[in-house]
Amino acid sequence: MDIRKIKKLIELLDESGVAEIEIKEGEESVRISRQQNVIAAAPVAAPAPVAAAPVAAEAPAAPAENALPSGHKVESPMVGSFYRSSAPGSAPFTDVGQTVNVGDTLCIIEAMKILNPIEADKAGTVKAILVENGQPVEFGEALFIIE
Amino acid sequence: MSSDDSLNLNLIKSMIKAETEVFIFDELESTNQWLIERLSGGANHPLLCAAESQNSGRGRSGRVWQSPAYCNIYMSFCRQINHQQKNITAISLVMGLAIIRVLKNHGIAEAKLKWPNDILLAGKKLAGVLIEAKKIDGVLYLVVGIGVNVQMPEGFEIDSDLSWSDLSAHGLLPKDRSRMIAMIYNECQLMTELFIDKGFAFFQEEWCSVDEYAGQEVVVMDQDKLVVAGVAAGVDETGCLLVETDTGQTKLVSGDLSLRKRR
Repeated sequence: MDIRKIKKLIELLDESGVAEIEIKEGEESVRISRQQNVIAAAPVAAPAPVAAAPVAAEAPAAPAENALPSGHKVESPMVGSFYRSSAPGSAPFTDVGQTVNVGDTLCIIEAMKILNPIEADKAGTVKAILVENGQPVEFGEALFIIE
Repeated sequence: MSSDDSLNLNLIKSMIKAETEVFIFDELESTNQWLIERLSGGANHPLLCAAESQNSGRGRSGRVWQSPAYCNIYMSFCRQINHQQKNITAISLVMGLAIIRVLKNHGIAEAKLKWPNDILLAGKKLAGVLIEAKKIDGVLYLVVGIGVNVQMPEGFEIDSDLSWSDLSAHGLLPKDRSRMIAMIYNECQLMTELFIDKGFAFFQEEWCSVDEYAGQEVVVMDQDKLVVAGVAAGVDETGCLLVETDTGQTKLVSGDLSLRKRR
């Protein structure tokens, strides 16, 4: 599926207030959901080599950016999987409403069994967590809003 | 265990470059954890540490790397990384390949890799690598932790979908650990330099030649959630796992790879 077409679909979704749309075109299908800010659905994985996990890469940016609350953005320094705690079932490093100091671990981004703890680069209150636990993230994708 | 079997600091030191500071412990929580704390305390030499046992050896997703005492290798070392370095994550695959090379030098040619860097012998887990990044005063370090089963206690059970294998059937015993630690360290240093210079593309073919799961039906899970199912097709020039599905090829940077269970 053409990436421009997907972008159009995202804009459409953004303007409409609809939570989720799913489009089928022959063998390919794409589902765009507002809550998660990602294009999900495993079978999509465009034939063009998109980065990372089996999720189309560039798409999520546009609507997510517009919808972000104001404040300091903490962005992912790498492509990988986003984890809110050090192990499944253990307490998250932080939560919405908690205060954080510079250097506090906010999450772990993991890729190829490299664990990269992401630290707060600004003190304040966590205003929003923009990615679900276990979701793939792209380079530069906003993860947290701190204010 | 005879005293000759315990880790030998001087032997390790004599086999590696002189500027590396070497530390040996009877017992640690985790060699990676110790090294991260040491770096945070301001250490700036190349560091290598090894322990006879670990109380909470680490694996992916908070899993434990079982670490019985005086019989296996648990080691960590660190490397400062330039922020401009592209596609640095594939260093993880290169470390697995370094262990494969050391095993080959010991006449163990049949060891294979499971993406990204588990080392298997006859399909069973022999060794593993976990890398932790740590930023200290704006400088990024990678702490590389390596575990190798040399002589597991009989009847030992590991918490994994794979059972374990060790090197004792291949004539390597706990007394050989110090020499192996030095050789693994040296090979990892050498290959890191090559990787930084030439990128993962330089190692892609070698990696694929020892890929345990290539051409087999696999699933990739992430914390009990299915990410993709298909046929493993090696890795690309950036170290991403390739899986062929009915709808095309998927690239992955993360997830737990395993063989698809036949019903």
